[in-house]
Amino acid sequence: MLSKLIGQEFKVTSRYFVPLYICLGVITLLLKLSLTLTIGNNTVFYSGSSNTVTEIINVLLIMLYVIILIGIVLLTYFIIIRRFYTNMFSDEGYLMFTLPVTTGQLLNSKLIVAFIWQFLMIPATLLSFFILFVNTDIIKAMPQFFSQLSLELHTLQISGFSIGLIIVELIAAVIVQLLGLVLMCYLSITLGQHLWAEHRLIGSILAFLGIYTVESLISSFAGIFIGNALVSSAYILTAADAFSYFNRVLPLTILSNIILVIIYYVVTHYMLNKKLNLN
Amino acid sequence: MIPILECNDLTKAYNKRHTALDHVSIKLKRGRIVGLLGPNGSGKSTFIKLAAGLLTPTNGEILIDGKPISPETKAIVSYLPDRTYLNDWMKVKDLISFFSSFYKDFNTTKAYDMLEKLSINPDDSLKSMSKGTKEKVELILVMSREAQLYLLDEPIGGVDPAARDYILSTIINNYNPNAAVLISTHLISDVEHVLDDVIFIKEGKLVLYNSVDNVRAMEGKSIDGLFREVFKC
Repeated sequence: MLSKLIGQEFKVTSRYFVPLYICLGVITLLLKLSLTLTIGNNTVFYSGSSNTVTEIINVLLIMLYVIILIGIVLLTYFIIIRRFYTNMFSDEGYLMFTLPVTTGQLLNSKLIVAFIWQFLMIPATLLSFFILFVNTDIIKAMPQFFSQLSLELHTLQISGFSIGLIIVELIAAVIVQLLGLVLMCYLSITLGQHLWAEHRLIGSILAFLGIYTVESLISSFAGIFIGNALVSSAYILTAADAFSYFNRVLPLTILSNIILVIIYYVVTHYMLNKKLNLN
Repeated sequence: MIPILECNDLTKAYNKRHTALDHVSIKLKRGRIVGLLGPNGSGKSTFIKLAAGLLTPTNGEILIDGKPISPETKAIVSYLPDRTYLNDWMKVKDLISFFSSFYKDFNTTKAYDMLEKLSINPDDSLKSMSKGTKEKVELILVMSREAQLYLLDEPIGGVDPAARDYILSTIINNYNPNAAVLISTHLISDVEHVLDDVIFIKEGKLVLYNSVDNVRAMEGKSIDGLFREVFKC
């Protein structure tokens, strides 16, 4: 059942995301083409070999590119949030909540697909940048770049700086952060429905602000106490110092975010399960 | 035999001023077509939504086949809401495959059969259809399920008289002796001839639950006539 729900989620949300990413692809290629034709293929830096018209075109394309990048971030969240609201609490809810599935399956399917679309922004953007900036010089320099990089990392490793651990922690932090953000939105929408049935949008916004405020207050207080306890010295002199600092702060941040994610999930699930009142 | 739908003291209050259902206790027998009749705002939709699992009771309980509302009960209940609840851009054939993938008791052959009889093209999207055709598609999806309880909330409200007759005959012909059909409507004279039992609901309270034959014999008038009397404004 869960896989069927996930399949349906993807089917519906793809209608919005696929055109969006196609736009990104098109603008990336257009910009790359324009830059290559005017500035040349052999350097990333502006060599001044173009005229005013091409300069203007390039600037416009770059602006459009940035707008599309920002648009992808904003639209991703807009689509995710709107999907949750429309599918669960508008007339479509009459279909979803009468399907022979558990509330958990409904919530999980939305969460998983939302997470994947959010996460996709990262490799998509990186790929776009890569296409824009890569040229023959860079490709030639890559093997040397990577061997140099692994040498540096190896040196750091010996001095106690485990890049692997940091990467794992960073990835975990990003994952939990993304989940938390989506769940905070889902919870706000769910609470908005319940607390103020006549004005659900305002109720949801208020709920969101409320949750955000509480979260900020808690993390500020926690930050003051825990931060002081952790950072024995304010000076980060070596890579080893930086590593030990991150290695103490990151796991705690991840842990506290996991706790928040669990709380948001449990409350949202409870509200959908026991306090459902579709209008 | 366990009643297919049972509610005990079922109450739904939205706030102190508005009680949609007031301590309603009913046991619906299997194999009956029951009319849930009452004026607008009497609590018919509320009752059906509670049975479908879209609302949580304030008090009392509602059981389907003796069990509380759960995915298990939803699998044997086929619900037709009083509004369009399907994604507009979906094609009819997409909807059929959606329903058949989620409901084990969905009869795809029957669905396509009914679509053909009503000259509805499975490749059409709902968006391209008139309101009446959309409602026919929704009804076909609901009646193609071999469920044990059919909850139909105002199934004939928005369609022309010929379609109404087709819908009602579809309902009778899909009559499986073990299933119950609950039809909520205020178009009583149209449905009277298909009903076995009637329930009258007034301001959230149960005022009558009897077989149509008994009522006609006792009151000496049609259900429609009795309704006008009981619910006189």
